[in-house]
Amino acid sequence: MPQAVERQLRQLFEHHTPSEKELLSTAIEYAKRGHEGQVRSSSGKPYVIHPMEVAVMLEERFQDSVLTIAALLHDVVEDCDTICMKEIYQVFGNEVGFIVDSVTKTECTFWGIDKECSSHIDKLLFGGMKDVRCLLLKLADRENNLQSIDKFRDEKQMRISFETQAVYLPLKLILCKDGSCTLQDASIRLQQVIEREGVTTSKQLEDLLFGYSFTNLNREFYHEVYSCSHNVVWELSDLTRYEQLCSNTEFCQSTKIISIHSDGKSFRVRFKFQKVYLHEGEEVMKFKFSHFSTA
Amino acid sequence: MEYRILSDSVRFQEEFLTGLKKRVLDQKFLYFDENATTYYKAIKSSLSYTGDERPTKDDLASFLQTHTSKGRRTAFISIGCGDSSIERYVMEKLNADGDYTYIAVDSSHAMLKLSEETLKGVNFEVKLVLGDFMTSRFTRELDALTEEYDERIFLFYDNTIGNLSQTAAVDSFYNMLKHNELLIVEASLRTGISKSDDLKRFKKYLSWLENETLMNYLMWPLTRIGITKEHGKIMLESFDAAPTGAFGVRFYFQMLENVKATYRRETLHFMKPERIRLLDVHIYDPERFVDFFVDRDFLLRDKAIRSHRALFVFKKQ
Repeated sequence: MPQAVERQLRQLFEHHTPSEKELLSTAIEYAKRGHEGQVRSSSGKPYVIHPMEVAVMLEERFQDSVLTIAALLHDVVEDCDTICMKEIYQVFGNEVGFIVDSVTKTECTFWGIDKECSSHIDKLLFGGMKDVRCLLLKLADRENNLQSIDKFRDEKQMRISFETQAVYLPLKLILCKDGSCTLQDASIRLQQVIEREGVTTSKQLEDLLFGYSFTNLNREFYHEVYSCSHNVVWELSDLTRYEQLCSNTEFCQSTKIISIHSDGKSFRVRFKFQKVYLHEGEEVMKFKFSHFSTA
Repeated sequence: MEYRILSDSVRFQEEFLTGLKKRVLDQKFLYFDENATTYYKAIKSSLSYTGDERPTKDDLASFLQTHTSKGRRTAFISIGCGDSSIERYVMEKLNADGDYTYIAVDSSHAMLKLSEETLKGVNFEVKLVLGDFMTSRFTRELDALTEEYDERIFLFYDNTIGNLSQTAAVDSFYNMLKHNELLIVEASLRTGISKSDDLKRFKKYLSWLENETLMNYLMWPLTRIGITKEHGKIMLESFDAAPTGAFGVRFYFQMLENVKATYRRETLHFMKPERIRLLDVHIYDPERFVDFFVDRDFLLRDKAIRSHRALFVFKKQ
């Protein structure tokens, strides 16, 4: 329950400076106030447990006070009418404010910055290119959400799963190659990829991320696919990769094959996801969007 | 050897023309003329056939001995008999202690000629019947042909059922058999119900596309009207045959050029990228296969299951 997680967080935070610990206490109060009376639809538990768990996760990994405090506040503006982004910036400072702003989906703009983003992903990636902690917070948030994804309706599971595969798993691969990293490592890796791939904008970064898992997904298409994730028919055209997937129990249980097709030279398998399936690791699958199914 | 013709070539040709117009060719059109012989050269040596573990000729003979009665005149009717090589073996075993007549039925005159060759010099009675078992005319004529027999037992071998419309085949059998008569069906089986198993089966049939003889066998109906491999390509696609729990593979010809063909004085326009269905193969889940028959008022009397094929004995209720 919240008190146990709060205790754990405060214990982890013990080594920080007194001013940082005071700011943590303020953030905890904001989180409690902002999520008062709310429960997680996936678990029925008090919602405030989620930002606290994310904060614990990030404090354990990075021991960065700004990031941990931002984690506590990351859903407050979205879920509470009485707390606005301006207040977050003013009370917790520009660094915390910017990180919280980058993961807040209510607006596609940043408070105090003249920047219009095309989507919440664009906003997140814009923020992440300036401060990698924006991305680390979002990854931890998604990781925590995935622990209870099976409690959601099938359609919502498919949407979350698709978005994770399209954006967050490739990000995780870039930032934390072996599953663990320091803040500095994550920042350096992101910069290396940005320079190597010639990425200069958040939109280019978005397309790069899509390209890890999908062959024909772009930003315009992404949103259409996202909203109809449970009706999408996917394709793979690599027989060897498909054979590998056929020996993956999770893939087999998560998919329904529509057809396999070949002329002896080219190969194509079409399938739908019926349950959550996330393909992690460097051996990416390059799924290709085929069409929307009406059946 | 008695020879009966229960179908006419005009009707056969009209059905072929209809199939061409619909771009869906029934499997019987693969056995025109010399393609019957090609079938035996091509299919019987292909990986999808030789690698299959299946019930033996002795298993079949054993079923017939078990499920027919001594001292009664029995007609053993093989529907889609092909060259009757299996049936000759079985009949020679059976006839040692029974009074059996072998009735070989096929819609292909060429196949019946092969049967005639196979059955030369046998010491049991043989009747060759050219006919299409799915027609009510065939049922009436077969009844007349076999009215003096005490019992009839039907064989539908070599997963021929896997090449046909499932409902058409089973409904036809239901109406052809009398109450309590038996039908022995050989079916290809799914070795597992996993994606991996299905992919292995798919790849076995995919190997046909590398075999010149098999490609010629599949193209035969189209080459008769002037469509050749140069006008397109043969493709293989899987399909989900839900009612029988089967994994289906389908060979079709994809037009890559426009061709104007003529058949029975009618002009047909084959345009790219139309597809012409050449052959379906169903590979069955054994339990669902049996359920499919049971749901249509057959009773399972016996079975012999091997890893790739099975024989099922059904009784019409």
